[in-house]
Amino acid sequence: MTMELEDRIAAGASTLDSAIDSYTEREHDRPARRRLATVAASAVLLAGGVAAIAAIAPRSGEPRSAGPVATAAPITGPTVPAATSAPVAGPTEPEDPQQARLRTYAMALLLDSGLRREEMVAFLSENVPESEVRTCMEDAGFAYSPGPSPKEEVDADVRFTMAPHEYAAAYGLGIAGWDLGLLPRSPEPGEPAPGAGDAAVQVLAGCRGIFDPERRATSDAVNAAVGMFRVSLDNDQRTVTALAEWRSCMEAAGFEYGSPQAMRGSFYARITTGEALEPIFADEVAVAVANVPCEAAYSAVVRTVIDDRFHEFTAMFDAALASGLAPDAQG
Amino acid sequence: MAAEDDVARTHASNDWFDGFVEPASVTLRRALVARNGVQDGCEAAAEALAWAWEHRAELEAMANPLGYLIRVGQSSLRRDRRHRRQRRSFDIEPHVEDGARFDADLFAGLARLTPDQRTAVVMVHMYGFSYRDVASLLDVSDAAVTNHVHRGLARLRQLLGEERS
Repeated sequence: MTMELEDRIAAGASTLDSAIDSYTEREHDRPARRRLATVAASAVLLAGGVAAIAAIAPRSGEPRSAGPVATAAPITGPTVPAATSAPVAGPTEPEDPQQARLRTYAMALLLDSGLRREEMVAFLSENVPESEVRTCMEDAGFAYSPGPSPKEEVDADVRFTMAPHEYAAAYGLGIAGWDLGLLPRSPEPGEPAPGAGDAAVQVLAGCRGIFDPERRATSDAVNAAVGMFRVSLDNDQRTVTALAEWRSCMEAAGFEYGSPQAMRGSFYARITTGEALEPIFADEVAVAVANVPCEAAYSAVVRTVIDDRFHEFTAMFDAALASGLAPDAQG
Repeated sequence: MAAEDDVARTHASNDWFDGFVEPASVTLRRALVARNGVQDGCEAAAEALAWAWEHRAELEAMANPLGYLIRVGQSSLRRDRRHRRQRRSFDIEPHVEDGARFDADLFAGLARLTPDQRTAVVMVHMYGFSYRDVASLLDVSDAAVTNHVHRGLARLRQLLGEERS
């Protein structure tokens, strides 16, 4: 007698929970993270949120909604370097490729806005080039239309072609306007031929390096370093002051938010509630226009702090890479 | 001062948050994974929990904080997918210790359901939630959950060759 379907489904709970536990442990509880056990949960959770960035998800400079408000999170971890305003000399000669690569990650993942065009191109260039993806797919017997190059992708992104105040007036923060279809769409990424099936999708993932151990190890270490460094960044007195000034600037315009992340998060939250998008977009544009000068000043400070404390980020990356984050250590 | 007010609000909400987050995070992950697969679901849950930490005072005042967090997580995925080359699927693989009892056909079948159907079937029949609970979590009507479960089971039976006469 075969097992009833309902029983089969119920029996699958352990499998699904094992998969969840395994992923969660891999992404959130690695040795480097355990050393951060006393750091505020926000920082650790946020770090998990950017997992696999290098290997999988080419993101724009669009900020994440979730992020600790520097003055609100009681962060007291012993591994958090004390906030200091003593700057460390920036690079005086060309960085080696590894340093430059890490700086790209740091800027792309830690700056809420104000990412430069060339930084975004460099960030997107971390992906396997589309020409290589095409060759790999064709070698596996699948036709593949390559997507745009990083430069083409960034050239098509209006955030990098419009003045910030013009963008804000036209598209707000880029949230509800996207859902309304107002934002120009970037060129579509490459895809297998229609009807190629699930096998092609799996092969494509491999061709894009998603299963590549070295890329994965880099991704994991970057992710861990970003989570740790964000705590340093948010606790630097310059960031704390800049955030307070950003709040004051927004309050002067009639808007109260805890942080730029919270500001964006409030609109992301609204678009999920079923509320009509047009009034959300109208509110968003008003906020975005007010935010342009406020966030420009804030982002400039954050950029400076990232630069000044970049040596901490590289040390965190090196430590994460050395502390057993490589995927072959995960089984 | 604003900073002192922030700290005071933070402390006032910490106890509630600590009690809420541990059980809630389990259900949050399960629901988001059921809908989006392990990787996207776990990342969405992490995003939602980070959001929860930042907004714990607001969350405490909500009637259905877990349901809200599920929507926050889902929203974060929607945002991230705009910039991602590949949408991940409901991809469950056996683990070493689980391999012997890994029901590959079942998970392949679940992967072919619609996200709504899969979420409803998994939450009701895999994790034992009531239809009412799932409706509350997903902020939909009881009837919608009933519909998703029944259609999902029917489709699964078809896919698994168990169609009843």
